[in-house]
Parts: sequence; structure tokens; C-alpha cells
Amino acid sequence: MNCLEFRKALLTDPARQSAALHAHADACALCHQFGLSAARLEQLLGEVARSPVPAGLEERILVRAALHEEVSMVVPDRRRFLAMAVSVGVAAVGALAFTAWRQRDAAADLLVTHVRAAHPEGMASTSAGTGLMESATRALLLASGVQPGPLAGLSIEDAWSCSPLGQSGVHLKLTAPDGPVHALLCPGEWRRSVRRLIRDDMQVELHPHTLGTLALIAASSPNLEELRTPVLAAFQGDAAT
Amino acid sequence: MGTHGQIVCAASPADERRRAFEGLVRHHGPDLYRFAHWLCGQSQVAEELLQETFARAWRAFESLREPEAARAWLFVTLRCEYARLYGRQRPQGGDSPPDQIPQPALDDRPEAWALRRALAVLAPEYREPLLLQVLGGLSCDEIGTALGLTPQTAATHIFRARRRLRAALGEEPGRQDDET
Ligand SMILES: [Zn+2]
Ligand SMILES: [Zn+2]
Repeated sequence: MNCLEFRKALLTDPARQSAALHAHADACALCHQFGLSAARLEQLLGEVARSPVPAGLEERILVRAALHEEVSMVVPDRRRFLAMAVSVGVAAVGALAFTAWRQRDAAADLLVTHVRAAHPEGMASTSAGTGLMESATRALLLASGVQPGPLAGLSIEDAWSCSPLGQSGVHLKLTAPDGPVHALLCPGEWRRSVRRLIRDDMQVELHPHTLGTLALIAASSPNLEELRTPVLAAFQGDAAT
Repeated sequence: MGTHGQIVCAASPADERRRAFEGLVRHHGPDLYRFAHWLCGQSQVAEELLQETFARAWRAFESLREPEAARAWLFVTLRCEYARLYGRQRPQGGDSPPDQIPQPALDDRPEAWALRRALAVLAPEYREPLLLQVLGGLSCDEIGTALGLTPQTAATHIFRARRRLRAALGEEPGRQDDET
């Protein structure tokens, strides 16, 4: 290897340093110097090329990917949900005016129906949550006007934008030791007190929320005691302005 | 079902795919964004290029299992997407001088400033292959593929790019860089 070849190799692909390159640098003082200055340039080039990246870039990409994936799962509007509710036998509700949806028991029925019917994989627990679901959940909560509380402690298996009672809200499926627990934020469903009831072998808890109602729904086996506090904290962050 | 034991659930294929995709975004996203920003000079366009590239990656995910190959694939795809959308023209406003490109917290050492400026005014035919190597870690073969050049031409362009940067920093006599 001569001096010209040495310099050309170093400026073409400095990361690939062959034995011949090292041998030449050891034998030739000028090329040794050249090698040092080339290394300085490479160091500086790496720094300069790596300009700052905008905050939240990865999250925005992940949220968009997650939302694309969920499109087929979202129940987009009241009419479609009504059609579905009728078809699965909540026909009595379907016959009523929308104002009747605000009746508390009807809301519980509709939510149980929604959890059973709107998400086809139903009540089967499949896996633990991921950071991806956490980002998607955060985006969904923000989109609904809720500043998300701590989400890290929740094992979020899936997150959707759903409107089981008309207004678009957030539906989370959480993994718990004895089966999934669903948390649904239903904006516009105002209530003053907590209500607990059993509907169709499902536990239903309806909590007051600054935007309406936060419902917890599970089959009979999962224990809601342990999840209640973290779920309420995740949804009860200050309303975003 | 026991109430005390934690159930260890097997991750579903969909969940595994999501997790692997998240790894891909976190691992390659920042450098890919930087490359996009050097290409187009605008943060919003750069982010759109990234969104489109990762949307393609999600659809082609099965063929991206090799982590090494994935990086080259992402850089090549982003470069193709840029060419498809903008052809040979940088997007509107992308030709602003380097010191007007909004970049917070830039290194203000004189040599860093000089190098950043030299890189910004370098002709795209030299800057792009250089950045594919520096940011993407692509080989000359891969860079050739991305830019429609032979590997030899890609190598020559990279060599000239570095000579020009060295000249801008006063470490090279000048522009006698047309020997190959
Ligand atoms: Zn020498
Ligand atoms: Zn839902």
C-alpha cells in the first residue's frame, strides 16, 4: 500500500480499517499524522451529522402505527353501534330514543354488550401490555381531553377509541391475574356517585369522572379491588385544557 | 384459576410483532430522522418521510427480521420515498442556509460550526452517500443501490465528500479531488 492508497482508503471508508492500512501508518510518519487528523474529522462529522431529534418523535411514529392497526376494531359511530346492539339482543334499548341511553341500567347493559360484542377476541386474555400500548393509550386519553395519569403500573393489553354510549371515549383492556378487566371512559354520561352492579354475570362499576363516567367491567372472577385505584388514577388526571 | 400466582401469558404473534416494531423505531428512528432532515432541510417533511418509511416497514415486517439488514432497508426506503415525492428538487424552503435551519442546542465550537456549514453546502451527490455511510452505516454496495450508482461511483463520491469537508476545515490543500 502506498501513501495515496492509504489516504484514499481512509477517506472512503474509515470504519473499515484493514491490516495493510495499519501497517502503512506504522511505517509512514506523514500518513500516521494524516490518520490522526482523519480520525478527528470522523469524530466531529459523527457529532455534527447527529443534529437534535424533535421530542416525542418515536412515540408519534408508534402511536400512528398502533392506531392504523386498530382501525378495524373501532366502532365508529352511534348508528353502527345501535345496529349492533339490536342484533345482539338489546333490542329494547334500540327502540328507545337516545335520551333513554342516559338511564343508568341501560348504560350498564350497553357497556357489557359492548365489551362482549364489539371486540371479537372477547374475554380471552392473550398477553401483557407493551410500551407501545402505553403510548397509544396516552394519545387516546389526550384526544379525549384527559391528561393521562400514571400508566406504567397498568398492564394494558389493548386500547381503542370507542363510543359505546354515543360519545367517543377510550376503552382499555387490562391484563389481571384472573382474566381481563375493561376500563371504559364514557364522556357525557354524568353521574354523582359510584354504582356497582352485576349484569349478565359481569361485574360493572360506574365511577363519576370529570368528563362523564368511567366504567370498570370484568367477568366474575377478576378482583377489581387491586386494579381500581391505579385505573382511576390513570383516567382521573386533570382535564386537559 | 389460582388467585395468588401471576399468570405468565405467552405473547401473541401480533403482540410480538408490535414489540419488535417498537424496537425498530426506537433503535433506528433518531438517525433515520437526521438523515431525512439533511435530505430535505425541514423537520416536518423529515418526520413525514419517517412516518411513511416506518409504515412501509410495518407492512414489510416479515422480511425485516435481520437487524443489520433492517437498518440498510430503512435508509434505502427513506431515500427512495424522498426521491418519489420530491424528485431532484428539495421541498419548498429546504434550501435555507444551514445556520437558518432551526436546530436547537447546536454545538457552537468553531470547527463544528464550520463542518456543519460545509456539510450543508456540499452538493447532494456527495452529501447523501456520505451521510448514508456516517448515519446509516451502509456499505458502498448498499449506498450504490440506494442512489442508483455503481459501488465504485458511490465510493468515489464519498471520498470526494470527505476531501471537500477537510478542505473546508483547512486540512486539505484544495479541490484537487478529481483523481480517483
Ligand atoms: Zn504514507
Ligand atoms: Zn370498545
